[in-house]
Amino acid sequence: MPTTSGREISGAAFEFSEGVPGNNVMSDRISRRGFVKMGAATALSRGIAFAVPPTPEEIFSDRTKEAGIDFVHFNGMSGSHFYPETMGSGVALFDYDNDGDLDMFIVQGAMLGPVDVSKAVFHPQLPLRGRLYRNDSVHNADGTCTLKFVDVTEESGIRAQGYGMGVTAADFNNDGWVDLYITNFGHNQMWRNNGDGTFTDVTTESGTDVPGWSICAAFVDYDRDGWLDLFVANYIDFRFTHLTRCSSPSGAVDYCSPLEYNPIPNRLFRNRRDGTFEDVTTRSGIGGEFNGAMGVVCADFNGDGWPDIFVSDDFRPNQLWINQHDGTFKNDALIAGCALDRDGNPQSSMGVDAGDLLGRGFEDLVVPTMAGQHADLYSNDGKGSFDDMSYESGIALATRRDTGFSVGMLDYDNDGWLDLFIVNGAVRIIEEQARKGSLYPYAQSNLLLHNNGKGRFEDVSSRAGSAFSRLEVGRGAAFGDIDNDGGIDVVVVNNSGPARLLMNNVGHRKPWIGFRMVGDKYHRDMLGTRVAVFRRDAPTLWRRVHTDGSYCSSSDPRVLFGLGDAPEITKVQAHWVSGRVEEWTGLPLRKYTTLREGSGTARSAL
Amino acid sequence: MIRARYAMVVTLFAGIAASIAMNSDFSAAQNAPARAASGQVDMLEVPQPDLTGVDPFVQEQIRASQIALAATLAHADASRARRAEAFGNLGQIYQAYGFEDAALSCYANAARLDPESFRWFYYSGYLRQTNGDTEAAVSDYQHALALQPTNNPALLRLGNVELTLDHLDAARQWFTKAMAQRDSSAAALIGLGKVALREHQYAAALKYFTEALTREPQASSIHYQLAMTYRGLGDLARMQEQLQARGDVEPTIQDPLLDEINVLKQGKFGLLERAGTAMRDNRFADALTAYRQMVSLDPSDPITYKYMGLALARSGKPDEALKEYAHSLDLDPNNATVHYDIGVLLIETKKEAEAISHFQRALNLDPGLVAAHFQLANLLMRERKDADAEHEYGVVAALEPQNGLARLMQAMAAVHSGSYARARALLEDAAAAFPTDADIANSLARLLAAAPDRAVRDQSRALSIVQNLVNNQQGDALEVGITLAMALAAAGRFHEAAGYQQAIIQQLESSRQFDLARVLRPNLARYQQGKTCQVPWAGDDPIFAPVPSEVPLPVEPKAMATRP
Repeated sequence: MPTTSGREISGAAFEFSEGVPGNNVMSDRISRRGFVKMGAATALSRGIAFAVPPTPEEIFSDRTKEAGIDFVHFNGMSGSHFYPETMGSGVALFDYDNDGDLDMFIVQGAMLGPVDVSKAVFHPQLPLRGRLYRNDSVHNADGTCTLKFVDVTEESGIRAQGYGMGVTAADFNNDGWVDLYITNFGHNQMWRNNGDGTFTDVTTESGTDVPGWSICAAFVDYDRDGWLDLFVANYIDFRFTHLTRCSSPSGAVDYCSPLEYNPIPNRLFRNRRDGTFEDVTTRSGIGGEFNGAMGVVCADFNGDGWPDIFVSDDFRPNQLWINQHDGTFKNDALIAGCALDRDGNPQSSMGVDAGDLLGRGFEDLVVPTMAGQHADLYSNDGKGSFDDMSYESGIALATRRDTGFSVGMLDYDNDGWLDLFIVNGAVRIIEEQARKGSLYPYAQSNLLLHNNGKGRFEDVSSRAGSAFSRLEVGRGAAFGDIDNDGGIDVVVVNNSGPARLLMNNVGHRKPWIGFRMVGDKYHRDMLGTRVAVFRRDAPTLWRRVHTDGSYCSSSDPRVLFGLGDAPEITKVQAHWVSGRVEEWTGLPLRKYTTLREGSGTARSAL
Repeated sequence: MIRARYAMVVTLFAGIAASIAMNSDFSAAQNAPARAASGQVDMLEVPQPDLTGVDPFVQEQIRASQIALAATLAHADASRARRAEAFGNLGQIYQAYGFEDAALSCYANAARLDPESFRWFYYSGYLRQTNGDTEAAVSDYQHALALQPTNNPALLRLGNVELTLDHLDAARQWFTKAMAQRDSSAAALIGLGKVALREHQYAAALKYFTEALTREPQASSIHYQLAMTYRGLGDLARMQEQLQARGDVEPTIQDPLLDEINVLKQGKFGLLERAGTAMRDNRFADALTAYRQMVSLDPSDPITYKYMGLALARSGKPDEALKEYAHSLDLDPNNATVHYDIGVLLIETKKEAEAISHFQRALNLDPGLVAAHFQLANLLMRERKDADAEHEYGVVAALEPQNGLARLMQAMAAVHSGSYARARALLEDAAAAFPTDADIANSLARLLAAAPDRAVRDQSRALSIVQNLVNNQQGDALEVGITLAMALAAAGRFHEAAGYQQAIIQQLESSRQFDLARVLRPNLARYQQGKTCQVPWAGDDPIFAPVPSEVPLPVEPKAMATRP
């Protein structure tokens, strides 16, 4: 279904048109399409997954179907404009079976309100539940990877049947196996990984049940005791018994603005190191201010060695919870300059990501917002004071027309500079789609912004591949190296649409080095650790071990460094959450190396 | 009725638009522009908005405007200016109701037909600016300004668009031109200030923002710009002051063309929006006019009567307000918030017993209505029903764990009933939950210093808490000072206690607060006699007679589509 903008509506695109070898002469493509179709049919008839190599021009290729991922999100809409239906959902990339590759959990919705599922506008895949896919991809002798994901939800024991929003993954009990925490509109769930391919619901016994409406969550060792604590980002008080009816200017029923609802407090849980958590929301100060959270990212923003927490809030001021080193936090966002936009207005902040976007070793912030506003780039001075650089960087201009939910800072081309991947999907009716009879006229295309290393970002979406011209209602996205080739791949969850696996075709072309940073006593990913790669005659690269950020999603905890044209590494330095600083030399390129805390040469902090 | 009016409109134009085959969707009117293209001017096709679910009154307004356009286009002698006007008028209607694609096409056609008309370029620029189509907005505004080079709103808006494009020189140029106009406003100064701020010219920025604030002191959004300027200057104390003063009132841009669009907004939503604005501006008569128009459109909506009640209450007409509230309850007896509003009105008219009854009815209907629990608790406290008040404050605290005031008042209700041990326990819990709340800390210190019940007192801890407040300059200085004197006396340091109490009294008297000074004298005498205070709060302390809070102003429920 071509549109006036030349983009295509989801589902109408010809599935095999992308990733076809050869040039782009139309007659050639038509004949090759036929060839690919035949080839695929033959391969499938023999039970072999058919790998379609990408065209050189495409930065990301949609290889969802080929990989065996058949997830379609269900938002439970029945025409009543229940607010939660526009918000889900997310995805986790995590290695649940410790086999060295990223598996995937995708969060599912459910029917909303006192309405039977038969009344749903879009009929769902049944049964309705979050799904766990095991990564069984095969690395071929010729260097290619045959992608294969197997749905293992049933055997895993995970029964995520609430109205799912987001997910975060980490090893909360330090047993070496990554656990899952699922946020819901309704009660959240903690699933403990049993280490044998199965999970057990430990929500009640762990003390992490949160009723109401949680959007996302993040594991963070805020007290630096070696055990991961849990921050839960809560949104607004939406109840079916207190429905507010909202209208567009023309009087047509529409979704309400978040300002129509009271925000509800975020929650902070301290890990008691025995499989249970203590709710320290009030004592920590976190419960004192809350503005309807959409995203959370934890990092040491002021450089004092303690993890802080940034919360992006929908149409109310963002929060920057600075760690006071005594179990309490203070919200300094307004003074720090990251609560509002440059004009002093609260934005419809959605997801968030933090990273060294400007190449100075500090944790900058990017927060996507609603169409008509613009994504904010808050540049950190290293002491937790921010400048809004959205206009100067070109990010504001590139993002003004779309509503961004997820954002990922990723160096997709491994040139050494973090780029931006923004997942878009409207919350306000798009007239053109409504006129054409779409039942869910909120589809937009995603954005890829390339960092030129000089503080400017260029929109390269138009040449990034067909995945960036498809219009869908994008929400969550997780970022990680799914085929371990050194290129960051992306999984996008579309509201009321299919999940998309977008494989990076270009990252591996430049030299790279990757690390998994694990603890000394406990073999788990040490979230919050900062890793620096020092290069000869080139700027030092800084990355943070994290799974948080984006929107409703949990990303690859490993750190990957694109080395660009300066691959000569003089040393690798880790700043562990414990405060220890260590260095390594002579580490191999083009592969992931596990670095255990205590195994390097100790250094004093810079 | 709507169908009848629609038929009348059709009849009126039937002769003129005879060549246009109209169907019920008025698609003919939409296609008409394409036929008009047969002249020298190429026309864009105007998309037909999806009117599903749209307010019937609005549909009628749109269709009437479509018919007017069709009729004009069908008229062979209609001038290009007249045809442009008809397109533009339809565009304005579309813009008023958020059909922006259709509005933009109409404005484009109007501009092609009448390229000498400023307004169609201006409207188009405004829509593109708000949609984030920034570069196109620049082009439209530049066209507009070529026609009216001194138009202040266009100069200001173009300056702001150039800022978003990071074109600082261009932005400065437009803001400087705006400053030179007779009707220049604080908005131009703010624009120049923003340019200076972006260029790190902090002294210049400070000058512009300060001047803007002088011109328009109510524009509280300027304080944020001043805060960022002081940050650039390294003056963090002033930065904090400005942050505390910041608000969301933007400087005024007098924009008659946008006013025209707002006037077009009919239908319930448009009227609700207009009434809401009038209420916020304390123009209650205007609000009532809009609400009455809403009643004429839909007499069965109980919320409209509720809002009318509030407008009348704010106008000082409580009896009329009660009638409207009653009307609302006739239509929807289960609306807890109407009972709540009535309760507040009855408090204002000194009928507190009746008010209690309405709050209780509100809570029967909606036990989660926190504001009603709080109002009820305040009234019960004033009525000396301390146990009931304590219970209600407790409910508020349970429903809103972050509500420190409710925790404090719960303890004060216990104090009022003489249950000092329970009050201490409540304050201890509250202080643990809200370690930075100075009022809670001060109240705990005072109770520990001066509770009549010996077992409740802890003099050294009282002194420690209040000294901490003094050292950190936290809390109300007067209240903390009184507590400090109590705690010093409790610790046997009567001379110091008397000295502090004397100093407080002198300060009050020098500021002519003689009544308050008189209240403090008995304790001064006690300290001078070497006696401790054993009445932490006098029975008539204002804390035991909390002032009821106002009903919040009605705010039209905002849809996603109306977010900026």
